[in-house]
Amino acid sequence: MFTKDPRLVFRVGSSFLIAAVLASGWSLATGRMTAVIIPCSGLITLLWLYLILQRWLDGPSFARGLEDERMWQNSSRAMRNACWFFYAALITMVVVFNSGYAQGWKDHAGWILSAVVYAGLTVHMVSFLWFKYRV
Amino acid sequence: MSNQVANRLRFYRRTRDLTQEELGEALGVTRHTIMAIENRKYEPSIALALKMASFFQMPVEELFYLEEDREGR
Repeated sequence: MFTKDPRLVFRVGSSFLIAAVLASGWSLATGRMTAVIIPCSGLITLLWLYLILQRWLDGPSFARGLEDERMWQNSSRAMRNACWFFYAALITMVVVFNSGYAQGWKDHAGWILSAVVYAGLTVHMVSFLWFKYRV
Repeated sequence: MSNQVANRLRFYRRTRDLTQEELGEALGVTRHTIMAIENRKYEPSIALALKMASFFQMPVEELFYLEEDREGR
């Protein structure tokens, strides 16, 4: 469920960030599930920084961001850009992995997928910020 | 002939001595949306246009009009 209370967004974000830091510490100490936990923790940290950046740029206006019709429109346009990126990236990966010379790439498929997710999220963030602040 | 929607939001906001932040607060949108509408980078929904008209206590066509209408006046 979406919430219109930005304080709850920050509380949930902080909880996720703390969980990510703890999970990363455990993963690095034990050397288990590093390829999954470290990229996920990185994504959570990136999202947290994104929220902080928005709060800093918007000031008190941030509290109304979740009920602002233009923000939702911007969000869907940014999502469309990110989906196009994912579509192109996945098609490229399928072609590369089936090219016959891709054993080296396949060995690092987890990290490549993580990089694609990071890049897609970055496309979304940059698009959203562009649509929002291009006034 | 242009059909772009123009508005007098900045004029009426200033006559009421309101900042973009204050108007946004009253209408439940961010100041960026007010800024975008004033700069004609964004056309608001009918609901938001009606809320604005209600806030300024005037008909919606006093706030928003088609560019060609003004040229025809």
